[in-house]
Amino acid sequence: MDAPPIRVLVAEDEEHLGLLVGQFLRGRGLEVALVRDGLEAAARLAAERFDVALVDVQMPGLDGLGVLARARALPRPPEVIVATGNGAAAAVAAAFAGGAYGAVAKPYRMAEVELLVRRAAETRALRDEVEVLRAEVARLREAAGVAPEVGSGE
Amino acid sequence: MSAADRAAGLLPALVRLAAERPAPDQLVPAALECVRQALGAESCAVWGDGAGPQAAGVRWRTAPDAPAADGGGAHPLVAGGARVGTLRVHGGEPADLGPVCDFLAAIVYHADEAARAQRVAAAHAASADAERRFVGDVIDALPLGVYVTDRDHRVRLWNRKRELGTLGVAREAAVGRPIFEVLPRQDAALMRAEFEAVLASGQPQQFEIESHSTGEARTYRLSKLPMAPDDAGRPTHVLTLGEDVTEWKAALGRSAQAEKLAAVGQLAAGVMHEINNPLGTIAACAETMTLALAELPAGATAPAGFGEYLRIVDHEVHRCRRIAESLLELSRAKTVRRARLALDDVVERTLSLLKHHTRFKRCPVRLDLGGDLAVVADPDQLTQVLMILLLNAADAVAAAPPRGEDEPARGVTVRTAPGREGLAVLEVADDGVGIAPEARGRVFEPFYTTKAPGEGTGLGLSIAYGIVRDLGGDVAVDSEPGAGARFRVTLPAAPEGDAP
Repeated sequence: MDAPPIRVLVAEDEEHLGLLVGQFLRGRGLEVALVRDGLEAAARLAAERFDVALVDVQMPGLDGLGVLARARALPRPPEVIVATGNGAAAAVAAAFAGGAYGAVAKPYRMAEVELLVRRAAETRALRDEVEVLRAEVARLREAAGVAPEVGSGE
Repeated sequence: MSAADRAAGLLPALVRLAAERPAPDQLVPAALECVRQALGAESCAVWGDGAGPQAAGVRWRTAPDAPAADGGGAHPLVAGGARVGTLRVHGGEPADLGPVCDFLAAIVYHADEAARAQRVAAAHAASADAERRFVGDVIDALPLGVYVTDRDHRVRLWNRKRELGTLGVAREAAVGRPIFEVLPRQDAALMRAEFEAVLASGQPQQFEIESHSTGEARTYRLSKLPMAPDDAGRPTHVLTLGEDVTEWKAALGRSAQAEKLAAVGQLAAGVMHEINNPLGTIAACAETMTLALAELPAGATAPAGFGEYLRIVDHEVHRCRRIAESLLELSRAKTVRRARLALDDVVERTLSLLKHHTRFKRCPVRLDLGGDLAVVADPDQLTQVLMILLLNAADAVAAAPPRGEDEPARGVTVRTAPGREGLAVLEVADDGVGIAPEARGRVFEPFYTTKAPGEGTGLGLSIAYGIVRDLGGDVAVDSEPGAGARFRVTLPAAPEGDAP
């Protein structure tokens, strides 16, 4: 059984860069949605199921850190990778503190970004699997009359 | 002759005497003698009563060795509404001495008044003298050369500071003489024109002059100020101030340099910040095209060299990115964690990091460490400073022709030592190509580099300079072309007993 394709949201206000990255990742077998500002990114993440979001830090409307915060508040948050225009340590630190999976500094190599996205998707899949298994354990314990002990979620 | 007649005959004689002898000390004895003879008395004298400044007792007699007439009749001398003394006459005919007493009283009164006025004047003069001396001391204590010339350009005042140094002239040799004779080495016509301009316009003049008379270049600021000492309205004197502003100018230059570096760094950082976005697009384009080349359909071939061109694009983009990173580092508001560091540990640590660097393969590093010197700094930042200096030094050594077999190989010396009070010195000296004099003032400017394009960003020393300035220190460079260079970092030494 083929695994379903990785779903990535690319939020990039640089029009050409967004198109190139989207095209590249699609060419590598990923499913890509492309948005050009932060508010649109937050809306798409809330409405659809994404595994990974590649988010530019500097964007009109809502910046990348704002998108990250909203994404993390979702019931099933995607892994978020932030892209910085200046590699500023402060922005990168804030992103990690806010729960980002990773950070890349522009100009980046798309091949490196792809690797990071795939690893993030893997993490997302593992989290999903943990959820499923926890639910299964809880169900089995309940069936056997044992009080649930394992926590339910992250 | 009656008593009244004797007295009446006296007065004109006394008036004649007063005309001949204005000074009381001559007039009074002569007048007393005149009275004594007229009355046929044995002795006459004027006594003081002890009131006022005069002591009680004999003040004047007919002659210095004459008797004091103390047993004689006493006639009060009254003038200005007050008793000013007593006329005593011993023996002789009785007479009406009223007019004589009035005459003598007036003379004693005026003598006393004159003496009092003299005392007051002397006291005033003494206090004015003290005042003048004090003002003179103040002018002498000024760290400025000060002199004053009058309308004829003669020196009227010459202060202590103006006497000192190689350009000094003793006050005795200056005051009263024309300034052009006192300072013969200066252009007299020019000086005269300057003084005349100040006197005529009433406007001060100020200019700076360079002098090498002390063996080193010093800068002096000369100010010529108009003076109108008697509120004359138009100036009658010129006050000339000379100040050694060499250190001040140097400090001003340093601070201007620091500000320039900060401004350039921030401007450049802002630019680079924006440049990363288009660079990202360019890199992505090159990568996409590279991928397309790799996935060409069978039978299709790309034009020759395209793969190489794309590799170059990618390489150059990432070179730009490194420049941008360095620049941002230069201007970033740094969050640093400062700690007390042993300077020698920083040296050891940096050298262990650089040990395997290719640039040090053929460049020996000599150490001259000063022992327990400590500074307060961020260890990573200080390591970065030393690394920048060492890599530059190694480059300078590599650029110089190798020495012969019997000479010590060109290398780098790292020295730590205590500096002037409260300072620690970290010095990196090399035997490399050295720095041309015109480049020496610019080495700390962002993007200034003497290396070939692509070999250096021209930011290393700017970053080092910024870090050291943030720590309250300074970096100085000293070099002769062909004879190596020495970068000297001075940092405030950590206070004693600071917890490590």
